[in-house]
Amino acid sequence: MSRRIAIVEDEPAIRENYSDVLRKQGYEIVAYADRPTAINAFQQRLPDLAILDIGLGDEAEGGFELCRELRQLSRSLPIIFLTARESDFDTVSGLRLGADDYLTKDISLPHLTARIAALFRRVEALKSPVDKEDILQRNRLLLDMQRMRCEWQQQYVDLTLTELWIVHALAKFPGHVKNRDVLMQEANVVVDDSTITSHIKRIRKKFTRIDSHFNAIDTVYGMGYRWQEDDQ
Amino acid sequence: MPLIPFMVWVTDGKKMTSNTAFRLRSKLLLVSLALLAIPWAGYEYVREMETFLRESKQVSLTDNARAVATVMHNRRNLFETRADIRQSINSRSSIYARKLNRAIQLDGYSDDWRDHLPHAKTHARQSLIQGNTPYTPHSLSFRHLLGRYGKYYYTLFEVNDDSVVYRSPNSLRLEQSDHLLIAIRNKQGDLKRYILTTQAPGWVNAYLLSDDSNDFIPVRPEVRIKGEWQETDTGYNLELRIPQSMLNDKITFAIVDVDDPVSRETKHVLSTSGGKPVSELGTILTLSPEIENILQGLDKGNSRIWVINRNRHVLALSGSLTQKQTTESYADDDDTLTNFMRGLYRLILQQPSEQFDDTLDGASRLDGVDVMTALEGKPSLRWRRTPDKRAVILSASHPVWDDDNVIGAVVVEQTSNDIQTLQNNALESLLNMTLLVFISAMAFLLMFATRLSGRIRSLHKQAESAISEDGRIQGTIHPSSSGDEIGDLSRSFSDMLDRLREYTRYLETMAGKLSHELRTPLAVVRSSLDNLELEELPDTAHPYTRRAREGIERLANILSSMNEATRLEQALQSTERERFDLGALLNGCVEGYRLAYPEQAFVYSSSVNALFINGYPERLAQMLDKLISNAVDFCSPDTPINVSLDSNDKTVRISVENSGPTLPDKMQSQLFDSMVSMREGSSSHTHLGLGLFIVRLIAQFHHGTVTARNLDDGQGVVFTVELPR
Repeated sequence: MSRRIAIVEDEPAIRENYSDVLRKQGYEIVAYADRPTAINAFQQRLPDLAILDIGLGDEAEGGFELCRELRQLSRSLPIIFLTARESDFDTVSGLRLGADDYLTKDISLPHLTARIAALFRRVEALKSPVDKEDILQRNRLLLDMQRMRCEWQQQYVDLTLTELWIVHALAKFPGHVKNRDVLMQEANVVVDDSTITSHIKRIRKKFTRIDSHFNAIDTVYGMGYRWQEDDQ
Repeated sequence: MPLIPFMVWVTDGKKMTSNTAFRLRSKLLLVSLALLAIPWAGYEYVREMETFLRESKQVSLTDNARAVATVMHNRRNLFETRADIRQSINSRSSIYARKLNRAIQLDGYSDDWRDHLPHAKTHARQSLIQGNTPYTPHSLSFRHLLGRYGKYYYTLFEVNDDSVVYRSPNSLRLEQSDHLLIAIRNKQGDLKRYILTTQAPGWVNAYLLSDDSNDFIPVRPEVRIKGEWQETDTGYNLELRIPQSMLNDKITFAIVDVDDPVSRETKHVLSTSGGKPVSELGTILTLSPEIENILQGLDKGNSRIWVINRNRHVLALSGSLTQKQTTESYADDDDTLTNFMRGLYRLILQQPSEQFDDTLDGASRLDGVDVMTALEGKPSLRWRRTPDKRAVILSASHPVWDDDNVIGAVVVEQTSNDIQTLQNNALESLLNMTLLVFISAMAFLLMFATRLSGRIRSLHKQAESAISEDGRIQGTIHPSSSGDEIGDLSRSFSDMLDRLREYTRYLETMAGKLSHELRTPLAVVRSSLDNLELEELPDTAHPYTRRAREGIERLANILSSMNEATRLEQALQSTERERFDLGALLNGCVEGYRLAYPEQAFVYSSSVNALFINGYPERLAQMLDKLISNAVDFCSPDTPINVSLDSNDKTVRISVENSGPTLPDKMQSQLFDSMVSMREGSSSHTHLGLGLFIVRLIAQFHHGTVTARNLDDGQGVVFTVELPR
């Protein structure tokens, strides 16, 4: 049974392009142009993954509203925001509403499909036993790349897909400075420097919420970031 | 905080302050000088009033004269009580008997006569009736006064005599010394002669002489005629008293001078009868009590009324010009300001003087043209100035008729002092009032102008601070609630600024909006290209898809740069300052640049090791990225880029220096504006000129400044960022 992906996007050309490329990947695609038709359809049947635009026709924040309604229908459904907006404010708003990832329309289709695949992998992995090979243990950090899970001091850290990939890229080789380009590549995103900066900032905040002394991500000014966990 | 201007704002932030000499306040004050026309007009008015007053004074004085004259019309007896006056009187031999206010003390001093001395008649050559030697006034002359008080005539002789010769005690002769001869006609009409001489200064009595006019034989002493002989520096004084009952208005005095005490010959004789023999007696002229009674009853005010007969002899005189009419009540005014003003006015206004010298006062005859005219039967007026020029006197003369004959005249005189006083008072109050009005108008105008210019200045200040030197709108103008033109101006300024702000905001958000709007079609193209690459394409098509993708990437870069500043703004506002080591940051960054630009040499120098400041480290790194990227682009090959850090108490300074082409002078201030690029020609990499704009944004967000200047040796450029510590 092929996976069913819902695309809610008011721009027909993009909607069609994304639908086409994902169909070629073997997904089943349902596409909606506005929020009412989309939510109606979702109430009939939930997709396996939803890609939402924020501005939907007349509703400037229709995507956020749709995300909230969708989260009420399902807590585990992977949701990706795909939008032309790229302000930090929108990003934070989107992620707070429970989206799994927030992408700008700059993203290339291969990157998008990689993300979709990863999200499905996480869903899959939650159902299957833990594969040791995909577990990365660094002192207090534990990354399960199969399930797309991150733990710090045995506590679950709620990272988005992009953030998880960034942490993974850093923690894979502790002490190595990863510059922004590397991180972007690893995280399957094409964003500018400042977006990486705000991702790092959000990651730190999420860890700090669990451990107020968290300082494992070190900024090397002008070069990038590195994972440097103090041995306690 | 200003956002991204989409366009290049080229403004030269010259302040439009005018420092010309005349500001609004001075102008209004200048205009208020027009108020000075008020005192001028007032002065003209007062002048006119003076003319009017003079005219009315003339009329009233003429009326007065006529009224007084009318009382005396057809009363010939008033003018001709004495029969002999009816004949023409030899004015030279007549003697005017002054009315004395009190009895004269017979002491030989002229003090009691002080008021009358100016009218004393001087007898010299023209009075000479006998002389053996050539006459000199030095040898003999005298001044003479006759007055009456009560029942007596009093008379004073001030005799100038170079040699006073007294009667010899051994001689019985009375005429062989300096002596006085008196000839009178008694009530019975008989001629009587008396002689006065003395052996020494002191009390003297007269002797009656025998009736033989050539003889000087004393008949008996006449004790009723007595007085004091007093020697003076220049001769002697003789003061006498004669009962009025002794004579019948006819009298002549003669001073006989004897200079040689040995020969005792008569040298000169001066007579009061005008050079006529002593037997031709002069007439004693007195004021007419009847007419004076009439005048007494009149309200004279401050006028002087003369009544004269046809011979212009004064028959009656009433009133005085010099009596104090206007008592100055200024004294009880203690206000220093008022006194000061009074003093000032006294300086600039001619004050009427009560102390003027009027030659007519006490005159026995009037000679004015007006008097002559009146005696010819025509009323007349005359303005005359006192000899000392201190007062102007108006005299109105009116004839007194007896049927068709003029029997006399009435002269009414008044000074113009009251007019002048009135005029001065009017001028004073006019000046006071004007000054008050002027000062209050000035004060009001000044207040008004100050308020007006204050409002305009505040508007000016607001307008000036509303737009920064580089043309950004940074403040607001509070629209005034007042309904006048300045209020209108303020409102339209405010309105204008609001609209301008909206427009600027529109322009500033334009880049963001544009990039946002372009992003969707970009995504359409990009995703279409992605799809296209998944299709089976002939090999010849690949270069085209590759080029299309390159074009798309460039477009995406442009959009992302356009958006960078907006996102930076948002990012700066949403992040918190932290305390960090700027030295470590710079060091790390330079290390990073060495990796990022392997072919470029970097030299980092710092005057300090650790330098902690509050700020946004990532943003400062981003700022440095832009500066370095700019320096790398312009740096001459094989020369290093110098990055340095130093600090003082208040600021830290980061400099990035590279050798290479210099900046054109005029561009140095615009360099940090949005969309200003000085790169020549086109390069493969897109330059929107936003890099240095972002540098400025970050520096400003740290309350710092960024400047660019050419190196002193002209071989390169240095960018300096100064941040407060």
